[in-house]
This record gives sequence, C-alpha cells and structure tokens, in this order.
Amino acid sequence: MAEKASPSSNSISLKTVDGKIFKVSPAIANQMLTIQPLIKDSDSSTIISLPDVAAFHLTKIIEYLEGKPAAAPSAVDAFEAQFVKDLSPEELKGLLIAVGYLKVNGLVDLMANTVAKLIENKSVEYVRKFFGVVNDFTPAEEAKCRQEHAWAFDGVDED
Amino acid sequence: MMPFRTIVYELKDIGEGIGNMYRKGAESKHMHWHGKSHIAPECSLPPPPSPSSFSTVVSEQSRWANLPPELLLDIVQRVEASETSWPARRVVVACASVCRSWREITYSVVKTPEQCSWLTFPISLKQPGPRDAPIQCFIKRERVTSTYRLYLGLSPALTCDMSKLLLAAKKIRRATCTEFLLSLVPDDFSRDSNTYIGKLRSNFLGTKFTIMDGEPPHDSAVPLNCKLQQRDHLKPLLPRVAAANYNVGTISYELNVLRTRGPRRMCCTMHLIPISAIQEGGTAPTPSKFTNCYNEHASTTPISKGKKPRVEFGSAGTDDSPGSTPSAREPLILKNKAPRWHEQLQCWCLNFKGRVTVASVKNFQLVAAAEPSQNVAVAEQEKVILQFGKIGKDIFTMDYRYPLSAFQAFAICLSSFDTKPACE
Repeated sequence: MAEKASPSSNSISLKTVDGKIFKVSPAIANQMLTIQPLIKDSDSSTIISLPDVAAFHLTKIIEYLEGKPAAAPSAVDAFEAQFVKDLSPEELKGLLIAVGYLKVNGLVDLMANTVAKLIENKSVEYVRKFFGVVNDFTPAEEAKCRQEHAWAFDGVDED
Repeated sequence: MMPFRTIVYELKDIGEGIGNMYRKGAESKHMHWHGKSHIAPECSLPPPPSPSSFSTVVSEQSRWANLPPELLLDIVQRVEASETSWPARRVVVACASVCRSWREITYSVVKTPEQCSWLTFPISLKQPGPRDAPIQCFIKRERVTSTYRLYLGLSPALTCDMSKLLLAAKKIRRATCTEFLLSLVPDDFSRDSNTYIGKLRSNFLGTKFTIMDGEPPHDSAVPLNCKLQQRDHLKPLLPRVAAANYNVGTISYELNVLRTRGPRRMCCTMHLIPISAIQEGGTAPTPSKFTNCYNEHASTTPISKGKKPRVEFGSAGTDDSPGSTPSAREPLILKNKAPRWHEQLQCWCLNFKGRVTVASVKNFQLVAAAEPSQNVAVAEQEKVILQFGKIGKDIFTMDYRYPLSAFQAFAICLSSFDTKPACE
C-alpha cells in the first residue's frame, strides 16, 4: 500500500458467513484474489462479506498467509505439510472450497494437491463418501463405468 | 430433466433447513458455476443413507456436489498428471466413475494415446497410438486354453506382476476357419458381453484374415464408403444388442509358391485408416467412447435379429471431403519389412532394436507401403508402425505406433500365430 498508516486504521474488515468480523492487513487481504478489486475502494469502515467462507476457514487462511512468509525458505515445505496435517478430512474439504472461492495465493495449489493425493489409490465408493457426491448415473452409464472399472482394477486398497 | 431439477432444489432446501451455512448467499453467486454438475438422487450405489445419518449426508452433499467445476478440474488434472503408470493410473478411471460431473471433467482431462502416450480408459485401446515412441506391450500365449493376453509393459521380467492386462483373445477352431475373439477381460469372450471388442477370422487356408471391430466406425472420416448389408434389419436400437461386426482390416499372407522355407510376406489393408494418416497433419479415426451398449446412437447403430450385420467397404466410395485428394484417402496398406540374409549367421535378419530375441517365423515389422502417386515421404515409409516378435517360450513383444490402435495391432499379431505351413 502506498500511503503509510497505522495497521489498524488501514486494516480490511472481512465478515464471514457465520457473522464474525476479521481485521486483516492489506498485505494479507491482497493475496485473496477474489476480494482484491474490492480492497482498493475500501476504507476502514468498509466490511467485505464473504458468503462462502466460515470463520474457521478464514482463521486457517490467515494462519497460512501469515505463517508462510515467516517460515525460512527451506522450511516452507515443512510448514505446508504441517498445515495440512493438522486438518481433518472435513476441515480439508471446507477449506478447499473457501480457498477456491477466495483464490488464495499458493493455498489453492496446496489444497488441491492434498486432496488429489488423498484420493490416489482409493475406490470409487470411498471417493463418493469422502466428497459426499451422489452417484447420479443412469443404469446404462453405470454399466459403462463398471466395464471401465473392471478393466482398470484388479484390486484396490481397502478404504 | 424437469423432475430432476425439482428434486435437486428440494435437496438443497433440506440442506439449508438443517443449517448448512455454506448455501446462504452463495446460492446466487455460484449458480452460474454449476452448469451440469447438479445433484441428482442416487439410483443404486451406494446404499441410501439411514435416516439418522441423513442430515449430515445432505449437508455434506450440497456443499461438495457444488464443488466449483474449476476446483474439481484442478484436482482431477493433478491426479491425472501424477499417475502416469499402471496400476496407479486406475485412479483416473475411478475418478470417472464417481458421478456425472466427475466423469465429464475426467474425460475432458484425459488425452488420447496419440497426444500423451498413455493408455487410460478401455477406449484408448481403440485409439491410435503415439506418433513417435511406440507403446510397448507383450503377449503371453497359453496353449492349454488357447488364450492370448496382451499386457502393457516391456516384458514380464521387467514389469513383474505390475503389468496391466490390456486385451485378451481366445482362439476358436471352426469347421471352415479359425476365429480369435477379443475381449477386455480374460474370462469372458461372449459376443453379447459389453467386454467384447471384436474378432479376427481366418479363411480356410489360414492365409487371409479379417479384423472385425465390434464397434461401428465412429466418424465421417472414413476413407471409403461403407455400406451396410441387410438394410432391412435396421431398426430402432434396443438398449443392449449383440455387437455387430465391422470389417476394419484385412491381413493376407502371401503363399510361397516355391514351397521353400523363407520369410513370409504379409500385407495388411486398414480400411478405415487413410494413407494420409501417417503424414504430418493426417489423422486416423479416433473414437472417443464406446457406443455399442448405448441407445443414444440409435440412429446410426445397426441391429440385426437373425444374422449379424456386416459392414463391407466398397471401392466405389464417394469422396465427400473436397480438400483431400482421392489418393490420400485410400486405405493404409502395411507390408512387412523384408529381412536381410545374413551370410555369417546363415539366417534372415531384421533389426528389432533389442525387443525381439528369439528367431521365429512369426517375427515381423510392418511399414507403410505407398504408391508414388500418394506422395508419402520416404522417411514415413521406413518407420516401423508395428513390430512383433518372440522373446521366450510363449512370450512375444508387440510395439505399435500411430495410426494403429492396440486392438488393431493385437489382431494383426494374432494372425501371425495362426498362419498355416502352406505359406511358410
């Protein structure tokens, strides 16, 4: 930010879907690409509401954005590993959506990679359950899937 | 479609009623993201949730089924890019069986073997291989059961038990010919099964073979006009029909009139692949999905009640593509490379680049045979498109390249197993 002001007067207020208000520095807010355009026109009285983000997720996002630059360059990987390790699958899922919505620098990659790794070598039923996705195939499509599946799998990890 | 939608919104409402905080406000913002990724009630798998777990299932579901497609795409792309070898690559196939939106996205991410050199879905067995480095496979013959199995990989020794079974074939002797039935699985060669891929049939002498595809030619890039026999059998398609057979290639072994032992001469005509396919910019038909067990292609798929329809390719084809010359649309003809007589070893030799180690009359290398009028570069005519040879007792390697598919290549190799002494 060009003008030098005290962090508090210059901070951006973000309101989560569950009604909590977070004050963050412009440097942090600017890394959420979705709200970036809103920051320029906002002053300390503006409150940007985030309809897809819960307080817990915003807390984690801020933790990541503050923690990553603080870590030594060689420790970034360890920091990221620890960051996702602390998350339960439920939290991981919610955070992925929040991060995808806010388009948080770096964190989108980390979350998508983590989720991609999670589903490696897993059964379709596991993936459905994990993502809470419903099988919406028609019987003909399902037959097709079964055929592909039978061809591709001769044994899969138990979930 | 309409009843679908209604249920979708009801589901969402339930989700909100239960206090799913994510839906509120996000609804309007994200509606444009959804596109076709709407939720639908499940039909069979997995079993419906019990009433007690219903609330969590619904709230989870509304959040996750609404996973923005770009995020899902991002995840599937990462999965696809990181798993490039079998068996790990099966996770990509799993992603395509999750639900419709996952399937759509996964299919959009997975490229053809020509583009990425990897086999992913069974359909990639019917898509042409890569243009440069061949896809390397091996074939195991089981004499007792008369079955042949095609595996992805360099050799059984190098890939251990990790080889991916691509196709299986079963040899069946009939009164007047021999047939090889090709299947996706090693234990079901029924023509009515949806694992049926096609077959190879010999003539009485075992000198000429026909490759029959269980799938109709998929697009209009067919070089010659194909006309259906028995048109009176064309009827609206039932959901499941026994696969028809479409003649896609002919292999002939030249009779050695002198009856002396010498190298075979073989000639393959691939009716659906234009000779131009081997040139830069030329293409071979590349189906994107199987059609034989769907009714969505009812208008184009033949059905027969009695005899199976067979498609023949007449030479009286009409050239409906004005841009290409008729000669470029002539079918691809493959001939085996003539071996050199090696004076010191006193045998016929071909350079298989280390992929073939045992001398056998079955070994061959196929290259394109073009007429001068077809303007095919000499370099293209020297490229080995399919190579097949023995590396051990009942073990053979098969390396294929564009414009052949694994199915076509396997069928050509199978013909080499069944030639009669008459042509040797």
